[in-house]
Amino acid sequence: MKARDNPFATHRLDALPYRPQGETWEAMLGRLEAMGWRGAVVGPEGTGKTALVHDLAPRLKARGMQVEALRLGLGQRTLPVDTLRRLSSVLDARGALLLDGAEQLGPLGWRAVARSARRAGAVVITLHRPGRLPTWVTCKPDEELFLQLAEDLAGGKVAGLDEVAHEAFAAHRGNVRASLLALYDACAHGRLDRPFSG
Amino acid sequence: MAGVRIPMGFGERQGALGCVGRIVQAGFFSIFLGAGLLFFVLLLRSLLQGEGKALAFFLLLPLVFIVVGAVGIYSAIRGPKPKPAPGSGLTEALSAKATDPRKGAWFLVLFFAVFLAVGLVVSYFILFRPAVKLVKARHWPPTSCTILSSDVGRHSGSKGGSTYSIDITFEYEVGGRIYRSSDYDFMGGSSSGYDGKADVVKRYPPGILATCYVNPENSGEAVLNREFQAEYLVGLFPLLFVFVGLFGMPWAIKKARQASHPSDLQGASAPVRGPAELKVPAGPVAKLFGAILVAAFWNGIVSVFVWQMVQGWRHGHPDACLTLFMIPFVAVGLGFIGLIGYQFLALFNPRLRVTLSQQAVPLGSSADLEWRFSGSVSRIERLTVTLEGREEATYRRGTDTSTDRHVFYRAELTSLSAGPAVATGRTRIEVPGDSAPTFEAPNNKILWSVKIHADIPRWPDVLEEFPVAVLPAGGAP
Amino acid sequence: MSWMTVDGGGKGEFRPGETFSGSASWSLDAQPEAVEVRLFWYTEGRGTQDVGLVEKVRFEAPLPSERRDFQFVLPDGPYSFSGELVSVRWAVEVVAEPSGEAQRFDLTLSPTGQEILLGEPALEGQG
Repeated sequence: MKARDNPFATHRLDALPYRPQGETWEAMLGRLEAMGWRGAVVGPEGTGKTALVHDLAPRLKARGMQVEALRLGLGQRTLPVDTLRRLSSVLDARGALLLDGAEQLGPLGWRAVARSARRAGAVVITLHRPGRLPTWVTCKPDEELFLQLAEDLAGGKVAGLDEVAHEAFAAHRGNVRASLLALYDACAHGRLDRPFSG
Repeated sequence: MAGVRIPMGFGERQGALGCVGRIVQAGFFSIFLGAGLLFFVLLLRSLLQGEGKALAFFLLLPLVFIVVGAVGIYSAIRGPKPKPAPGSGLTEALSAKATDPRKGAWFLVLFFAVFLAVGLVVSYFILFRPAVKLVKARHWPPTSCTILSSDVGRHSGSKGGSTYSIDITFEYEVGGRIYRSSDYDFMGGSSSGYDGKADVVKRYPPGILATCYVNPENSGEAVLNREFQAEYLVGLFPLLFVFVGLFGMPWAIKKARQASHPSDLQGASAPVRGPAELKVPAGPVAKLFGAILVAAFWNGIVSVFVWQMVQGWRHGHPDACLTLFMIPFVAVGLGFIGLIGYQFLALFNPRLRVTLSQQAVPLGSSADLEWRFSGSVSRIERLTVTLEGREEATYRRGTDTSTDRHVFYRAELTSLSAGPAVATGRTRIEVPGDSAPTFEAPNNKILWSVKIHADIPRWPDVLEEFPVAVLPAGGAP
Repeated sequence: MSWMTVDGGGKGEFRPGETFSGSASWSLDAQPEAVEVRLFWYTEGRGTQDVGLVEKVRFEAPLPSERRDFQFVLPDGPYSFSGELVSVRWAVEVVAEPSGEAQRFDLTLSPTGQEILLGEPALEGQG
């Protein structure tokens, strides 16, 4: 199978929309508003936090907010001074900070970010464990959701998909992203039937 | 109306370091910083104790270490700049994801330029200037002088030992004016070794008349000894910096240019004429050195805890939890020590040199590959030479990074059993015409290489991979 | 309702050194500051997407509705190819600034004009 035809190619994974669990986007935004537009998306690796923050951005923009979205890399304990300065100057009451991977920040790094964003209209961060900001959404490993995503990407029911997906989900302990990459490999190695309509 | 045409760079090139990589980076630069600070303090102390002016210029060296170390640690702790999360910008255009690769590459050029500059400056003060004076002093007129004081200066060294200096002050007259100098030679400073200095001092007791050599252009400058001495060889040290800068800069400039014009490999034909010796990324000595470095770093840290653990056991209050916790770390440490042994044994393997008849091979064409073993070739039981093409894809999202490799082309070029033909030979690489040339983007790569495997029974095998640049078709000589 | 299009005169297969002669048309709700036509390659597959911008043509202060012709001489590489993990594709994209509205036209670039397929390792020796 050509890499670009693989239904689990990463550009397709990255484009997966967040699927709210048990409530609508409107309800989620309502809760966030009630929290003073300050909240954390909490959950382990690969459970949809990045997708949620990604999909939150256009919704905040639609409310007239200027969105600053940043993603922290592994072990990034502080933000560079120039970034903090820029955040301080652009984050006013109409500014929103979306910080993916805030668990990477050290205590001082987080304080510096919080200071830079104190005037911001909205601050949403992602964390592996609760803390730093009140929990807005908790993302949990959800095999049913994963199977649904896998099926959607594969373009419908595919022979062997459920079995391979179940194995992958167990092997990667609920990390949806890693499990979907395992499905990429399964497809590439011909472990899943072709063709895919995705 | 035609628009403005703008040629572009090639896409983001700098990769992200993982957590372990950043810890290693921080450790590496800590050594720089620590060594720099230690030397700086020692030199400063010696300087304050009046041990020679030349030392002042040495201060530049530890300063460079300190700056390099501090910047390296800062960048390791700070990590990469946060990335704008995709889709949060205004544009959804795919082409907007392309970034400029040139920034990082030119930073390396600057890094080596600093090495070169510091090396040159320090070399000027402690190598070139004394050397020029030594030569010029051949023509300084001998002048009578009176020794005023003469003693061996003693300076407490950093590790409890002492260093010694020749402290002689003498007076001489030029043009009716009395001058005083304390320079025995052009070097100054202190060093270990008492006897040699005591001999000199003995030759110049206070009150005797001696001969000094006075700079005709500056009568205030005079020395007692204008002969070359071994101490002057210290001046060769900063040349190391000069060499690192001199060799590093062209390499970094080449890298930076490749980043700016990556078409060298991926577009317009690169120069392919002329034979090229293929290089492995790391030779056996580098691998051994790398293994020692990693083992020293790892075991250095682990040993602190092991020491605590051992003390606990020795004093009758063992920490079982710490002991259990340390087992895997110690095991890894032992593994690294084993790796040193393995790499050490590999040092005695036959050495391999591989030459390709062209710098790069266009798709659909061929090139001659020649190998030559030196050393104990008779130990090789079997030799295989393979051409391999593989894809590499790295996926980064959140804090996850995973790299996958897949070989899409493999052809055995040669397979030989022990015999004289193993020592040196030639084979032909034919790169298929319907394949992809070398392609290197930050996360996705097509790499071609020649793999040479020499099987040595009961000993580390020779297993080397030589990257081969494969060009688009038509780049043929 | 805004729209943008870009095409290469019905041709989608190119060889290195050939000229891509295309036209970009747009009708935008607001007047853009500039419209850019960009020639670039991008990857798809198991790795994070890489994108390499090769050349661009910029039209400053265009009208909200307009059609412009442009040309690119295609470079020698990278070729359009697909393996198990990596695909490299070529495209020409028209992008309005500052809104970021964009439209893409995919093409293939290789000595045959067809996408190169990387298969499984050959089993036999060469010599």
